[in-house]
Amino acid sequence: MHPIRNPRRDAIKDSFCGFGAMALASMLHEPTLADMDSLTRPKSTHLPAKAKSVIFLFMAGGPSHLETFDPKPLLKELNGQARPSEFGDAKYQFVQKDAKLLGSKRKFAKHGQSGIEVSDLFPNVAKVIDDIAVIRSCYGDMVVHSAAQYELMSGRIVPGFPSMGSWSIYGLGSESQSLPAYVVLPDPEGALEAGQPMYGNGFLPAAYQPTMMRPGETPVLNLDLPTGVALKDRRRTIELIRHLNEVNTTSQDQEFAARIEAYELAFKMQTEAPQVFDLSGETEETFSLYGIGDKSTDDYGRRCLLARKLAEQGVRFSVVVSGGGSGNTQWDAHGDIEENHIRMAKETDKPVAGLLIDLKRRGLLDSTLVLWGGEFGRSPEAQGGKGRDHHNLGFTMWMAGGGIRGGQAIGATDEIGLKAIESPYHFRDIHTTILNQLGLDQDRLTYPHLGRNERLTQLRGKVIQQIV
Amino acid sequence: MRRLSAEEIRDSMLVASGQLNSEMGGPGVILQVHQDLVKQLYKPSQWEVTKSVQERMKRSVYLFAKRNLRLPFMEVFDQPAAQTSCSSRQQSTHAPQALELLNGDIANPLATSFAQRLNREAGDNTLAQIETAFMLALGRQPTDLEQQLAASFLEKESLNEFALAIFNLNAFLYVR
Repeated sequence: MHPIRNPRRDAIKDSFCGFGAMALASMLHEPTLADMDSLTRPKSTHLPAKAKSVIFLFMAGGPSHLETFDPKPLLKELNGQARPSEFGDAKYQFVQKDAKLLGSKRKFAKHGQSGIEVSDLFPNVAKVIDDIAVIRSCYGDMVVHSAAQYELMSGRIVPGFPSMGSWSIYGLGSESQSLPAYVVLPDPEGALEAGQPMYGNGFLPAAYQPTMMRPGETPVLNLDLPTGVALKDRRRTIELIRHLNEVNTTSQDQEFAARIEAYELAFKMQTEAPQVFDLSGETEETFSLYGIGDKSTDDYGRRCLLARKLAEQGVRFSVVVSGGGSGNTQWDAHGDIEENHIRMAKETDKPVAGLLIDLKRRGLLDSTLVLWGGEFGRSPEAQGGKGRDHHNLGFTMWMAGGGIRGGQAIGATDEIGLKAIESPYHFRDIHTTILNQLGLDQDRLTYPHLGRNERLTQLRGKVIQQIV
Repeated sequence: MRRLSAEEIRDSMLVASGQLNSEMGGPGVILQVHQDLVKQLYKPSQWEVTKSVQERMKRSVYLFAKRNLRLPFMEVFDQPAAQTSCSSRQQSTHAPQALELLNGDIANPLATSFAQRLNREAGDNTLAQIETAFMLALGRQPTDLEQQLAASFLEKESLNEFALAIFNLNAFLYVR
């Protein structure tokens, strides 16, 4: 199955020729060239799939659970005091042991039939809360951005391991003929601490790498023709390549057949993908649903709308990043939680709600799993009086669609939001749940790397049964 | 039979086009990449493109390796990410490879140089150009059928596009 060649295995094989070698080769599943064209073909799932695609609304920098989905009246009461010792210890990046607790200034109210409490930062998301399963008891292992971002994306605290997007398309293959299967829409404000490797395919074949979409006219690298070359000329060039390849290819050469097909697919992408990226066919009503046209929501709204179009066209996994560049243009509110979160929430609230509404009315929400969250939450203690530090011991993420039962808030942090104490869920449980909804089994979705079969969930995760 | 590695493909294009600078050693060479990729670096100023064009024509082994900005060309042709050790390279086949070799900013300028070299060495005789291209890039004469296909292409299309097509042939990218 796997297109790898291991010289050590070859050496063993060479020294045991005859039947022994043949048996050994089949035991080792020695790959053949014929396997290679099947890398991105649609594959059957391990389990019945509920979701076909995933959209990860990545709130980079670490949005506060305390200002958004996890109200803590006691924290407000204890505002300005030291943390009572019964809550235990926490390690932060910056705030020291003598830091004082900071109550939230946000107002919470119950919303929807489910009556889930949402803060006034998200008036639009609050309206669709009945579609959302809020997980208030998430936790991770790292309290600095890059390591936490690697863990969020790939289950490991170091770079070099495949991201959940790459694992997903490795498991599912590609549904679209003219679009990449895994797309990242970065924030034009700039990069994140963990950089591009967090989205990467790690040791999986390059066919599973993410496609980074850039803002502007030509969102995908190499999709536009070089200056001065017309499409009809390029069509002829591709035909010449095909003809010259075919005269030297026999029907047995499946690898070459795959390459010939790759050129056809490339041409198809070149002509068809730009139509998907073009938002001009959408109605005014849709634009305003996503907040497109309003200064603060225009950018994230466009990218959310694009994510819907991509899901519609069979793209399996997309990441829509909110936050980039310096800390304060991410959700990384060290200096002033109010200023930062009011601004970041304003930029995303309407687009996120718009996406859920739009997916639902198009009948896509059932098959599209939407995940919201960042690499951690924020500290109950104040940093420098008005800010909050990173905090990985208890924070909120949410899921909607893709077979997730919305309208419930599960798990809980303690009364000051320091630690996840009721049904704590690690990133690996989030990953396991996503795979499960896609019909993939964490134990069967493996790939051999440096002598062992690796998987997304290094330590075995659990499916969050309350929401599936 | 195997496909050339990412570095070998670029090096082969450098050789065929006559652009290879075979000087050894020296500081790592940083190639120009799309500005949007540089912007995705936490410190974009770290990507300081090597000024000398000559320097940039060195073998791929001298290319500067930065974990957070992999050259799209190398990445797409299965060069391993430099974060974990790699006992054996992958070999995958997919459409973005075709897009890179057709539209990318490594293949295209080298195809232009290759076309200029064909003009220099074979004059404007189409058949001579085709033979020279095959000899330089594939190490053999074209068959009659290949000759015909190429000649009828060159009746309508530019030598640049022909040179680019040669870089995209299985015969160029695979070795026995």
